[in-house]
Amino acid sequence: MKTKKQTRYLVAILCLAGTSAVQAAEKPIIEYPYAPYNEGKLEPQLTGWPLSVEEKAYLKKPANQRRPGGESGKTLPEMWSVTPMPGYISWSSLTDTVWLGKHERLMASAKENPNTEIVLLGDAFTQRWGDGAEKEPLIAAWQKQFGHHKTLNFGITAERTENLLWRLEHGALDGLSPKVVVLNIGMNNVSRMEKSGVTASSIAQGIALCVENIRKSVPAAHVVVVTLLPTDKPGSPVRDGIAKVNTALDGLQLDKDPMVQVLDLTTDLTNKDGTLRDDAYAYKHIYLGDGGYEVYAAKLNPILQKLLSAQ
Amino acid sequence: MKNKQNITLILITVFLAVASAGNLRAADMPPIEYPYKPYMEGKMDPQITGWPLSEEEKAYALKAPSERKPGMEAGAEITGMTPLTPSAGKWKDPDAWLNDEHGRCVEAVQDNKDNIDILLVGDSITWFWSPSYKSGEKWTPKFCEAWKKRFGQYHTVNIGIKGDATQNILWRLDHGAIDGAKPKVIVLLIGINNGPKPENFKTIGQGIKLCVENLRARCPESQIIVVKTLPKATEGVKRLNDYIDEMNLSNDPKLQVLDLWDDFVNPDGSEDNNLYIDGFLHLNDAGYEIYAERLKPLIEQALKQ
Repeated sequence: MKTKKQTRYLVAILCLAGTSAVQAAEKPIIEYPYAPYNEGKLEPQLTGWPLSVEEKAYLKKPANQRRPGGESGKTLPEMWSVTPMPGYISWSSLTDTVWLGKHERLMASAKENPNTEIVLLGDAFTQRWGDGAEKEPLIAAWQKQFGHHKTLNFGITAERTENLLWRLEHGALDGLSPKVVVLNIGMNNVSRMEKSGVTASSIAQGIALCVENIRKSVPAAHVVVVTLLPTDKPGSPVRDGIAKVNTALDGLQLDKDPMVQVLDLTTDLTNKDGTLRDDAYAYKHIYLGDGGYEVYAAKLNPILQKLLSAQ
Repeated sequence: MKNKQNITLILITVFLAVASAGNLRAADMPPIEYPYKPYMEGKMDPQITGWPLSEEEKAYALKAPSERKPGMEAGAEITGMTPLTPSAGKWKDPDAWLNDEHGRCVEAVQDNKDNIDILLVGDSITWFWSPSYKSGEKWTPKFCEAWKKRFGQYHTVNIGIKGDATQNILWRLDHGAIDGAKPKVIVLLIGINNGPKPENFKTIGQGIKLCVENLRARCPESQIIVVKTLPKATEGVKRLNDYIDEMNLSNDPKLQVLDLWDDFVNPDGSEDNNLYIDGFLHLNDAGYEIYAERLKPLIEQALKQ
């Protein structure tokens, strides 16, 4: 009898916890610097998955109306990198949208793999580790070092900090409790520095917000932040932008949090004169090649092994 | 009675003369030599140049493309020859490409052939400069804002056809696409539908070169702008674009090459998704704005000549 009563209490408590979780879910996981966003003046559904009807309708609006400031006809590039915003959404239909479909498939693979130890988050440099989550296996460089640790690759090509923030708010890590999250994001924000006046410090802040969100979403996980990898020629606007963002990121001292580590691979992937190492990058340096991923994995290895065995 | 018989005889003679003229035209050779000999020898297409098509050529062109590939006349495709050997395109509806699309382009050029400033040649990316045509209707040019804003004062004819690859452009050029036209400037963008990969980019590059040579032979006075393949940011496309440089097309003093790689690729090596519609193949309005802006100085330069 007593046990039954206890069970009933437990169920009641769980139900209450469930309701409060729903209420809490209406606020974003973390606070963002653009107040109108937190107040729900831009997006109807700031967090959670699946998406409501209102949120789906909102996503079909043109991107410039959905950017911070768009709600009041302003252009606020300094807010772009620090305010959640989905990746490219098709004008024709949401179901055709490659980006949203990919996000959904990644969440499905998370559900199938609740025992995942390592989650990779980032842009194309991360995606090219191979789609551990989807059809393709992780590439040899990863398998060799970490093959026995279940890894999900949540990298999406062309991703910017704001897109990753949106994914993190809308279910990306739901149901997962990884030991380590490897984050490499921000490179694609850099091309907007020259074109649209996005600042290096706001990009670094966007990366810091990704870290903050991950820490709150999966508190038991260590986070390894890989700073922006070098690309393009020394002296090019993109390379200069990358250096500026990395400097700004240093200033934020993310590793003050004992659960966060920062890894910089710039000198490992470049020659002394700053040019990219031919053996590290693919043809004409359009992306990191097998040799580069070997270096990347070797550098990650001691850090990850320590973190994975510590628990 | 005798008169009537005479008239009948004359009619028959005229008919035979016309028919044999048709045959003669069917035997006409293309202005350039294609590397696949059986094609040049008429072992594939029964009519290798001219428009309208003979009944034989029409029947041949409406066969499935897979049956018409170089080598298939002897039983097996010779892949390396596909981008280099003229071939009619085909859509699901057997007639759509041949009559609605190619037929419409021929008509558009014929209606305007004496005063074309700019002729656009290519696939869907070119077609989308003026996507205002309904299948089966007469073509009325209605160019997108990005084009009108910069080139509205020029007389432009767009003969882009969705899905076209180099071999389709070659076939169209040999079958009436630009007969008699003397455009001041020709803009050519072709190759993505040949599927550039690290193992086949050279043949595709050669296919683009044949398109240029054919255009040059038919329009010796025209300025030509070759636009390198727009990023699908893959190694195959990058290699194709570099190979276009290696082929030194711009040794032709009336030819310019436009490279759009840096305009359309993100720092992480992916396509800038703000410039494409989904699938990263077709451009959105913002993408056409950039493309048009980069074309502008080249077109102005060419029109000055």
